[in-house]
Amino acid sequence: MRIQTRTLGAVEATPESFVTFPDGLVGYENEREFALVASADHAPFRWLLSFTDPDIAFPLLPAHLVADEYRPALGASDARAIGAVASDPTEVWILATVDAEGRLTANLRAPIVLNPASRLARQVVLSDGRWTVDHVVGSKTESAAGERTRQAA
Amino acid sequence: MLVLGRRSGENIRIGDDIKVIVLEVRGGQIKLGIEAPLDVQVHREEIYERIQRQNRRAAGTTPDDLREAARVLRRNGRLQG
Repeated sequence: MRIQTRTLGAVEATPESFVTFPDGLVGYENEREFALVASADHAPFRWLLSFTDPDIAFPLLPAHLVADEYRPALGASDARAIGAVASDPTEVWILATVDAEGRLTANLRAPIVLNPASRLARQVVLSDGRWTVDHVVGSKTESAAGERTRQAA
Repeated sequence: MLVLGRRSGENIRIGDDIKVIVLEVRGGQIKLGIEAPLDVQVHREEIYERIQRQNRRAAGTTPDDLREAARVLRRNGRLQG
């Protein structure tokens, strides 16, 4: 199926990539139907594309790439909302932004939890104040430091 | 706006399935319990607004910005898994 987007043009999405958010996302409560698609140009990001609004394209990162120690607790009601129980395996995705200074930030406070079996997902708002909405993942300075480390090793 | 006075231990009902319980009033702070159906999301307003703003920013990320961020991530070796 073809999805029209404003910034990425027409994107082909297969049914396996479809995701339903029964309650939408925060501030986008009426957007329910999305596709989670990969783009070679943007790996490891994926795009969460709205089927109905060509202006809505969220970049997502798999949580394990953002923070190693990040294990958001899924409450029973969150799990039920995506047709799962708390112990079921779920995928955790993080909404990313590039801020005005060019830094990549990740919203660890409100991750997207996807039940791969039902393809239902929910943006979960964590009560744990340790996680911020704009956790800095990397910047040009950091990447330069990373390269120096690798060269030294 | 409807204004209701309530004491500790008293409740407010909103429709059939939302209940707000005044658990404790102390100093300038009030502790509320909220019972609501699953599809009604309940958040502290300032957190809700922060997340809403951040979601809007995420939706405004351009493919060019993301291509650059992706390049940096790949260079940093955050690609495993």
